[in-house]
Amino acid sequence: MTKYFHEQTKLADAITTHPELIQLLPRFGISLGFGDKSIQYVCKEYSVPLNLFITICNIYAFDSYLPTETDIVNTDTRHLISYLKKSHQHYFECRIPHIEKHLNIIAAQISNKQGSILKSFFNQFKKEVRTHFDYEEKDIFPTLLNLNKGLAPSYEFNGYEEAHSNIEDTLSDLIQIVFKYLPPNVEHENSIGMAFDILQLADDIKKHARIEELILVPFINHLERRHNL
Amino acid sequence: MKRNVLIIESSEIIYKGIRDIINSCPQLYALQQIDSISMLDSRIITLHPDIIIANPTLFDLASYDLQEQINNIPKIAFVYQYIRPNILQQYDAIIDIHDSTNKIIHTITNVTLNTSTNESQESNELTEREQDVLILIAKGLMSKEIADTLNISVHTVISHRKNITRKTGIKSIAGLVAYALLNNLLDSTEIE
Repeated sequence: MTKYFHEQTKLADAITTHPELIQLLPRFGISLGFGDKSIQYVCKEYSVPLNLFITICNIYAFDSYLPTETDIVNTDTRHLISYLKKSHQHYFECRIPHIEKHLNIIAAQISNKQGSILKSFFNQFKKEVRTHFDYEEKDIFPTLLNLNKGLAPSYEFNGYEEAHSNIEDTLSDLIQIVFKYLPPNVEHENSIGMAFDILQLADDIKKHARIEELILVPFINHLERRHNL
Repeated sequence: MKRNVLIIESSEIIYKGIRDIINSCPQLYALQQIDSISMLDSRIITLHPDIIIANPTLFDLASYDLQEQINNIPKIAFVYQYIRPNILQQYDAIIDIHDSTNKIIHTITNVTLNTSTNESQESNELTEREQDVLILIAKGLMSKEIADTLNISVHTVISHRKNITRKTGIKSIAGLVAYALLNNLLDSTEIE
Protein backbone atom coordinates (compact mmCIF):
# COMPACT_ATOMS: atom_id res chain seq x y z
CA MET A 1 0.00 0.00 0.00
CA THR A 2 1.16 3.50 -0.76
CA LYS A 3 2.37 5.40 2.27
CA TYR A 4 1.00 8.89 2.07
CA PHE A 5 2.51 11.86 3.87
CA HIS A 6 1.15 12.76 7.30
CA GLU A 7 1.83 15.44 9.89
CA GLN A 8 4.74 13.55 11.46
CA THR A 9 6.54 12.95 8.15
CA LYS A 10 9.80 14.85 8.05
CA LEU A 11 9.60 17.46 5.31
CA ALA A 12 13.13 16.57 4.20
CA ASP A 13 12.13 12.89 3.83
CA ALA A 14 9.05 13.79 1.78
CA ILE A 15 11.15 15.86 -0.61
CA THR A 16 13.90 13.25 -0.83
CA THR A 17 11.41 10.61 -1.96
CA HIS A 18 9.44 13.04 -4.16
CA PRO A 19 11.80 15.82 -5.30
CA GLU A 20 9.07 17.47 -7.39
CA LEU A 21 7.52 18.68 -4.11
CA ILE A 22 10.29 21.23 -3.84
CA GLN A 23 8.38 23.40 -6.32
CA LEU A 24 5.52 23.72 -3.84
CA LEU A 25 7.56 25.32 -1.08
CA PRO A 26 7.83 28.87 -2.48
CA ARG A 27 4.08 28.79 -3.20
CA PHE A 28 3.54 28.36 0.53
CA GLY A 29 6.33 30.76 1.43
CA ILE A 30 8.44 27.99 2.97
CA SER A 31 12.23 28.36 2.60
CA LEU A 32 14.81 25.60 2.39
CA GLY A 33 16.92 24.79 5.43
CA PHE A 34 14.19 23.15 7.52
CA GLY A 35 16.52 20.56 9.03
CA ASP A 36 14.80 17.45 10.36
CA LYS A 37 11.54 19.16 11.24
CA SER A 38 8.24 17.40 10.69
CA ILE A 39 5.64 18.74 8.26
CA GLN A 40 3.53 19.74 11.25
CA TYR A 41 6.35 21.76 12.78
CA VAL A 42 7.31 23.53 9.56
CA CYS A 43 3.68 24.43 8.81
CA LYS A 44 3.31 25.93 12.27
CA GLU A 45 6.50 27.89 11.83
CA TYR A 46 5.33 29.42 8.54
CA SER A 47 1.62 29.68 9.52
CA VAL A 48 0.60 27.34 6.73
CA PRO A 49 -2.61 25.33 7.33
CA LEU A 50 -1.37 21.80 8.01
CA ASN A 51 -4.31 19.98 6.48
CA LEU A 52 -4.14 21.90 3.18
CA PHE A 53 -0.37 21.49 2.90
CA ILE A 54 -0.49 17.71 3.46
CA THR A 55 -3.41 17.28 1.07
CA ILE A 56 -1.68 19.24 -1.69
CA CYS A 57 1.62 17.38 -1.17
CA ASN A 58 -0.18 14.03 -1.35
CA ILE A 59 -2.12 14.92 -4.51
CA TYR A 60 1.10 16.25 -6.03
CA ALA A 61 3.18 13.17 -5.23
CA PHE A 62 0.66 10.32 -5.56
CA ASP A 63 -1.70 9.82 -8.50
CA SER A 64 -3.76 7.43 -6.38
CA TYR A 65 -4.40 9.90 -3.56
CA LEU A 66 -7.92 11.21 -2.99
CA PRO A 67 -8.64 13.75 -0.26
CA THR A 68 -11.26 12.75 2.31
CA GLU A 69 -14.49 14.63 2.77
CA THR A 70 -13.13 16.07 6.04
CA ASP A 71 -10.10 17.40 4.15
CA ILE A 72 -12.35 19.15 1.66
CA VAL A 73 -14.84 20.54 4.18
CA ASN A 74 -12.01 21.99 6.24
CA THR A 75 -10.25 23.68 3.33
CA ASP A 76 -8.69 27.00 4.27
CA THR A 77 -10.10 29.18 1.47
CA ARG A 78 -7.66 32.04 1.77
CA HIS A 79 -4.60 29.80 1.72
CA LEU A 80 -5.95 27.64 -1.10
CA ILE A 81 -6.52 30.70 -3.28
CA SER A 82 -3.14 32.08 -2.35
CA TYR A 83 -1.48 28.78 -3.27
CA LEU A 84 -3.27 28.60 -6.63
CA LYS A 85 -2.48 32.22 -7.49
CA LYS A 86 1.17 31.75 -6.63
CA SER A 87 1.28 28.70 -8.88
CA HIS A 88 -0.17 30.74 -11.74
CA GLN A 89 2.37 33.45 -11.07
CA HIS A 90 5.21 30.92 -11.03
CA TYR A 91 4.16 29.51 -14.41
CA PHE A 92 3.89 32.93 -15.99
CA GLU A 93 6.81 34.71 -14.44
CA CYS A 94 9.30 31.89 -14.35
CA ARG A 95 8.52 28.67 -16.22
CA ILE A 96 6.92 29.97 -19.40
CA PRO A 97 9.52 32.75 -19.95
CA HIS A 98 12.20 30.08 -19.50
CA ILE A 99 10.74 27.95 -22.27
CA GLU A 100 10.27 31.05 -24.38
CA LYS A 101 13.93 31.95 -24.05
CA HIS A 102 14.93 28.55 -25.44
CA LEU A 103 12.29 28.84 -28.13
CA ASN A 104 13.56 32.23 -29.32
CA ILE A 105 17.10 30.91 -29.63
CA ILE A 106 15.82 27.86 -31.50
CA ALA A 107 13.69 30.02 -33.80
CA ALA A 108 16.80 31.95 -34.79
CA GLN A 109 18.55 28.70 -35.77
CA ILE A 110 15.86 27.44 -38.14
CA SER A 111 14.11 28.95 -41.13
CA ASN A 112 11.98 32.05 -40.60
CA LYS A 113 8.89 30.17 -41.54
CA GLN A 114 9.49 27.27 -39.15
CA GLY A 115 10.49 29.68 -36.40
CA SER A 116 7.32 31.69 -36.71
CA ILE A 117 5.18 28.52 -36.75
CA LEU A 118 6.72 27.39 -33.47
CA LYS A 119 6.38 30.83 -31.93
CA SER A 120 2.79 31.26 -32.97
CA PHE A 121 1.87 27.83 -31.61
CA PHE A 122 3.54 28.68 -28.33
CA ASN A 123 1.79 32.06 -28.19
CA GLN A 124 -1.51 30.33 -28.70
CA PHE A 125 -0.73 28.01 -25.80
CA LYS A 126 0.17 31.01 -23.63
CA LYS A 127 -3.05 32.76 -24.54
CA GLU A 128 -5.08 29.68 -23.70
CA VAL A 129 -3.44 29.33 -20.29
CA ARG A 130 -3.72 33.07 -19.58
CA THR A 131 -7.44 33.08 -20.41
CA HIS A 132 -8.10 30.17 -18.08
CA PHE A 133 -6.04 31.61 -15.22
CA ASP A 134 -7.73 35.01 -15.63
CA TYR A 135 -11.11 33.33 -15.49
CA GLU A 136 -10.10 31.65 -12.24
CA GLU A 137 -8.58 34.74 -10.67
CA LYS A 138 -11.23 37.24 -11.72
CA ASP A 139 -14.35 35.09 -11.52
CA ILE A 140 -13.86 31.86 -9.60
CA PHE A 141 -11.72 32.98 -6.67
CA PRO A 142 -13.80 36.09 -5.73
CA THR A 143 -16.94 34.01 -6.05
CA LEU A 144 -15.42 31.38 -3.79
CA LEU A 145 -14.65 34.04 -1.17
CA ASN A 146 -18.25 35.24 -1.36
CA LEU A 147 -19.56 31.71 -1.12
CA ASN A 148 -17.51 31.27 1.99
CA LYS A 149 -19.43 34.18 3.49
CA GLY A 150 -22.71 32.58 2.41
CA LEU A 151 -23.30 34.81 -0.62
CA ALA A 152 -24.82 33.29 -3.74
CA PRO A 153 -22.41 32.58 -6.61
CA SER A 154 -22.74 34.74 -9.67
CA TYR A 155 -21.24 32.00 -11.84
CA GLU A 156 -22.01 28.51 -12.94
CA PHE A 157 -18.91 26.44 -12.34
CA ASN A 158 -19.03 24.54 -15.57
CA GLY A 159 -16.41 23.48 -18.05
CA TYR A 160 -13.59 23.33 -15.54
CA GLU A 161 -12.29 19.93 -16.48
CA GLU A 162 -12.74 20.69 -20.16
CA ALA A 163 -10.58 23.82 -19.94
CA HIS A 164 -7.93 21.81 -18.11
CA SER A 165 -7.91 19.01 -20.60
CA ASN A 166 -7.66 21.53 -23.46
CA ILE A 167 -4.58 23.07 -21.88
CA GLU A 168 -3.08 19.63 -21.28
CA ASP A 169 -3.78 18.64 -24.90
CA THR A 170 -2.07 21.77 -26.20
CA LEU A 171 0.95 21.10 -23.98
CA SER A 172 1.12 17.50 -25.09
CA ASP A 173 0.96 18.68 -28.73
CA LEU A 174 3.78 21.08 -28.05
CA ILE A 175 5.82 18.16 -26.70
CA GLN A 176 5.01 16.05 -29.79
CA ILE A 177 5.95 18.88 -32.15
CA VAL A 178 9.23 19.54 -30.36
CA PHE A 179 10.12 15.83 -30.17
CA LYS A 180 9.12 14.79 -33.63
CA TYR A 181 9.17 17.75 -35.93
CA LEU A 182 11.89 20.08 -34.72
CA PRO A 183 14.47 20.53 -37.51
CA PRO A 184 17.59 18.52 -36.57
CA ASN A 185 20.00 21.41 -37.08
CA VAL A 186 19.02 23.01 -33.76
CA GLU A 187 21.74 23.00 -31.09
CA HIS A 188 21.20 20.28 -28.52
CA GLU A 189 21.62 22.55 -25.56
CA ASN A 190 18.51 24.47 -26.51
CA SER A 191 16.35 21.75 -28.02
CA ILE A 192 16.88 19.34 -25.13
CA GLY A 193 16.67 22.17 -22.63
CA MET A 194 13.36 23.30 -24.03
CA ALA A 195 11.95 19.77 -24.26
CA PHE A 196 12.91 19.18 -20.63
CA ASP A 197 11.31 22.45 -19.49
CA ILE A 198 8.10 21.72 -21.38
CA LEU A 199 7.86 18.21 -19.93
CA GLN A 200 8.31 19.58 -16.44
CA LEU A 201 5.74 22.33 -16.96
CA ALA A 202 3.27 19.83 -18.43
CA ASP A 203 3.66 17.63 -15.39
CA ASP A 204 3.26 20.55 -12.99
CA ILE A 205 0.19 21.92 -14.75
CA LYS A 206 -1.38 18.46 -14.77
CA LYS A 207 -0.97 18.28 -11.00
CA HIS A 208 -2.21 21.82 -10.60
CA ALA A 209 -5.37 20.83 -12.47
CA ARG A 210 -5.76 17.77 -10.24
CA ILE A 211 -5.49 19.93 -7.14
CA GLU A 212 -8.27 22.15 -8.48
CA GLU A 213 -10.43 19.22 -9.48
CA LEU A 214 -9.93 17.36 -6.20
CA ILE A 215 -10.08 20.29 -3.75
CA LEU A 216 -11.40 23.50 -5.32
CA VAL A 217 -14.34 22.07 -7.26
CA PRO A 218 -15.64 19.74 -4.48
CA PHE A 219 -15.15 22.54 -1.95
CA ILE A 220 -17.29 24.92 -4.04
CA ASN A 221 -19.95 22.20 -4.33
CA HIS A 222 -19.82 21.69 -0.60
CA LEU A 223 -20.30 25.42 0.14
CA GLU A 224 -23.18 25.63 -2.32
CA ARG A 225 -24.90 22.73 -0.59
CA ARG A 226 -24.18 24.08 2.88
CA HIS A 227 -25.77 27.42 2.07
CA ASN A 228 -28.55 25.79 0.04
CA LEU A 229 -27.58 27.91 -2.93
CA MET B 1 -10.02 -21.37 -34.71
CA LYS B 2 -11.81 -20.78 -37.98
CA ARG B 3 -10.85 -17.78 -40.05
CA ASN B 4 -13.72 -15.71 -41.39
CA VAL B 5 -13.57 -14.94 -45.07
CA LEU B 6 -15.50 -11.98 -46.41
CA ILE B 7 -16.44 -12.29 -50.08
CA ILE B 8 -17.17 -9.17 -52.09
CA GLU B 9 -18.76 -10.39 -55.28
CA SER B 10 -21.95 -9.32 -57.04
CA SER B 11 -22.71 -12.61 -58.83
CA GLU B 12 -24.61 -15.08 -56.69
CA ILE B 13 -23.41 -18.08 -58.74
CA ILE B 14 -19.80 -17.12 -58.26
CA TYR B 15 -20.29 -16.26 -54.57
CA LYS B 16 -21.90 -19.65 -53.87
CA GLY B 17 -19.09 -21.41 -55.74
CA ILE B 18 -16.37 -19.72 -53.70
CA ARG B 19 -18.38 -20.15 -50.50
CA ASP B 20 -18.65 -23.92 -50.97
CA ILE B 21 -14.97 -24.24 -51.71
CA ILE B 22 -14.08 -22.19 -48.61
CA ASN B 23 -16.46 -24.07 -46.33
CA SER B 24 -15.01 -27.40 -47.52
CA CYS B 25 -11.92 -26.41 -45.59
CA PRO B 26 -12.42 -26.88 -41.82
CA GLN B 27 -10.19 -23.90 -40.98
CA LEU B 28 -12.19 -21.43 -43.04
CA TYR B 29 -15.67 -19.99 -42.85
CA ALA B 30 -17.32 -17.94 -45.60
CA LEU B 31 -19.28 -14.96 -44.35
CA GLN B 32 -22.44 -13.82 -46.08
CA GLN B 33 -22.29 -12.27 -49.53
CA ILE B 34 -21.37 -8.62 -49.83
CA ASP B 35 -22.33 -7.36 -53.25
CA SER B 36 -21.45 -3.71 -52.98
CA ILE B 37 -18.96 -1.54 -51.18
CA SER B 38 -21.56 0.61 -49.46
CA MET B 39 -22.78 -2.50 -47.67
CA LEU B 40 -19.26 -3.26 -46.63
CA ASP B 41 -18.90 0.10 -44.88
CA SER B 42 -21.03 -0.87 -41.95
CA ARG B 43 -20.55 -4.61 -42.00
CA ILE B 44 -16.81 -4.67 -41.99
CA ILE B 45 -16.81 -3.75 -38.33
CA THR B 46 -19.48 -6.15 -37.17
CA LEU B 47 -18.40 -9.17 -39.23
CA HIS B 48 -14.74 -9.12 -38.17
CA PRO B 49 -13.35 -10.76 -41.31
CA ASP B 50 -9.87 -12.29 -41.12
CA ILE B 51 -9.48 -12.37 -44.89
CA ILE B 52 -11.19 -10.44 -47.67
CA ILE B 53 -11.71 -11.88 -51.13
CA ALA B 54 -12.87 -9.22 -53.53
CA ASN B 55 -13.78 -8.84 -57.14
CA PRO B 56 -11.41 -5.94 -57.98
CA THR B 57 -13.94 -4.43 -60.38
CA LEU B 58 -16.29 -3.88 -57.45
CA PHE B 59 -13.76 -2.82 -54.92
CA ASP B 60 -11.28 -0.08 -55.68
CA LEU B 61 -9.02 -0.08 -52.65
CA ALA B 62 -7.21 3.12 -53.49
CA SER B 63 -10.30 5.28 -53.30
CA TYR B 64 -11.94 3.29 -50.52
CA ASP B 65 -12.74 5.56 -47.61
CA LEU B 66 -12.36 2.96 -44.89
CA GLN B 67 -8.93 1.78 -46.05
CA GLU B 68 -7.65 2.27 -42.57
CA GLN B 69 -10.04 -0.23 -41.03
CA ILE B 70 -9.06 -3.01 -43.40
CA ASN B 71 -5.35 -2.25 -43.48
CA ASN B 72 -4.50 -5.21 -41.31
CA ILE B 73 -6.69 -7.69 -43.15
CA PRO B 74 -5.11 -9.68 -46.00
CA LYS B 75 -6.93 -9.06 -49.27
CA ILE B 76 -7.19 -11.50 -52.16
CA ALA B 77 -8.29 -10.45 -55.64
CA PHE B 78 -10.71 -12.84 -57.33
CA VAL B 79 -10.10 -12.48 -61.03
CA TYR B 80 -12.17 -13.66 -63.96
CA GLN B 81 -11.47 -10.90 -66.44
CA TYR B 82 -8.55 -8.64 -67.26
CA ILE B 83 -7.63 -6.37 -64.33
CA ARG B 84 -5.00 -3.65 -64.61
CA PRO B 85 -1.74 -4.65 -62.89
CA ASN B 86 -1.64 -1.51 -60.74
CA ILE B 87 -4.98 -2.55 -59.24
CA LEU B 88 -3.83 -6.11 -58.63
CA GLN B 89 -0.79 -4.74 -56.82
CA GLN B 90 -3.06 -3.53 -54.07
CA TYR B 91 -3.88 -7.12 -53.14
CA ASP B 92 -1.86 -9.60 -51.16
CA ALA B 93 -2.75 -12.58 -53.37
CA ILE B 94 -4.74 -13.52 -56.47
CA ILE B 95 -7.23 -16.30 -57.14
CA ASP B 96 -8.05 -17.02 -60.78
CA ILE B 97 -11.44 -18.41 -61.77
CA HIS B 98 -9.69 -21.43 -63.34
CA ASP B 99 -7.78 -22.34 -60.16
CA SER B 100 -8.48 -25.76 -58.65
CA THR B 101 -10.16 -26.16 -55.24
CA ASN B 102 -6.84 -27.16 -53.70
CA LYS B 103 -5.04 -24.21 -55.15
CA ILE B 104 -7.75 -21.80 -53.96
CA ILE B 105 -7.68 -23.20 -50.42
CA HIS B 106 -3.89 -23.06 -50.48
CA THR B 107 -3.93 -19.42 -51.57
CA ILE B 108 -6.44 -18.44 -48.88
CA THR B 109 -4.81 -20.30 -46.01
CA ASN B 110 -1.36 -19.02 -46.89
CA VAL B 111 -2.18 -15.40 -47.54
CA THR B 112 -0.35 -12.90 -45.39
CA LEU B 113 -0.11 -9.18 -45.73
CA ASN B 114 2.06 -8.29 -48.68
CA THR B 115 5.10 -6.71 -47.07
CA SER B 116 5.52 -3.96 -49.62
CA THR B 117 1.99 -2.67 -49.14
CA ASN B 118 2.23 -3.47 -45.47
CA GLU B 119 5.15 -1.16 -45.02
CA SER B 120 3.45 1.84 -46.54
CA GLN B 121 0.16 1.14 -44.80
CA GLU B 122 1.56 0.48 -41.36
CA SER B 123 3.97 3.37 -41.29
CA ASN B 124 2.96 6.52 -39.55
CA GLU B 125 2.86 8.48 -42.78
CA LEU B 126 -0.52 10.04 -43.38
CA THR B 127 -2.41 8.68 -46.39
CA GLU B 128 -3.32 11.16 -49.12
CA ARG B 129 -6.90 11.21 -47.89
CA GLU B 130 -5.77 11.92 -44.34
CA GLN B 131 -3.62 14.76 -45.63
CA ASP B 132 -6.66 16.20 -47.43
CA VAL B 133 -8.65 16.04 -44.20
CA LEU B 134 -5.76 17.50 -42.18
CA ILE B 135 -5.44 20.47 -44.53
CA LEU B 136 -9.14 21.22 -44.19
CA ILE B 137 -8.97 20.91 -40.39
CA ALA B 138 -6.05 23.34 -40.40
CA LYS B 139 -8.08 25.75 -42.54
CA GLY B 140 -10.64 25.77 -39.77
CA LEU B 141 -13.39 23.60 -41.27
CA MET B 142 -15.69 21.53 -39.04
CA SER B 143 -16.14 17.78 -39.62
CA LYS B 144 -19.47 18.33 -41.38
CA GLU B 145 -17.94 20.89 -43.76
CA ILE B 146 -14.99 18.59 -44.46
CA ALA B 147 -17.41 15.76 -45.24
CA ASP B 148 -19.28 17.98 -47.71
CA THR B 149 -16.09 19.26 -49.34
CA LEU B 150 -14.60 15.79 -49.85
CA ASN B 151 -17.93 14.15 -50.55
CA ILE B 152 -17.55 11.57 -47.78
CA SER B 153 -19.59 10.85 -44.67
CA VAL B 154 -19.07 12.66 -41.37
CA HIS B 155 -18.39 9.25 -39.84
CA THR B 156 -15.51 8.77 -42.28
CA VAL B 157 -14.13 12.23 -41.49
CA ILE B 158 -14.16 11.37 -37.79
CA SER B 159 -12.37 8.11 -38.47
CA HIS B 160 -9.73 10.02 -40.50
CA ARG B 161 -9.35 12.52 -37.65
CA LYS B 162 -8.75 9.69 -35.20
CA ASN B 163 -6.09 8.21 -37.46
CA ILE B 164 -4.41 11.58 -37.94
CA THR B 165 -4.20 12.05 -34.17
CA ARG B 166 -2.98 8.49 -33.66
CA LYS B 167 -0.27 8.84 -36.31
CA THR B 168 0.93 12.35 -35.49
CA GLY B 169 0.31 12.27 -31.74
CA ILE B 170 -1.30 15.71 -32.04
CA LYS B 171 -4.78 16.46 -30.71
CA SER B 172 -5.44 20.19 -30.80
CA ILE B 173 -6.34 22.13 -33.92
CA ALA B 174 -3.54 24.63 -33.26
CA GLY B 175 -1.12 21.70 -33.06
CA LEU B 176 -2.40 20.24 -36.33
CA VAL B 177 -1.97 23.62 -38.03
CA ALA B 178 1.64 23.71 -36.83
CA TYR B 179 2.14 20.12 -38.05
CA ALA B 180 0.68 20.90 -41.48
CA LEU B 181 2.85 24.01 -41.84
CA LEU B 182 6.06 22.33 -40.63
CA ASN B 183 5.49 19.47 -43.07
CA ASN B 184 4.73 21.83 -45.95
CA LEU B 185 1.24 20.45 -46.43
CA LEU B 186 -0.06 23.95 -46.15
CA ASP B 187 1.21 27.45 -46.74
CA SER B 188 0.74 30.03 -44.01
CA THR B 189 -1.04 32.28 -46.53
CA GLU B 190 -3.77 29.64 -46.85
CA ILE B 191 -4.98 30.05 -43.30
CA GLU B 192 -6.58 33.04 -41.67
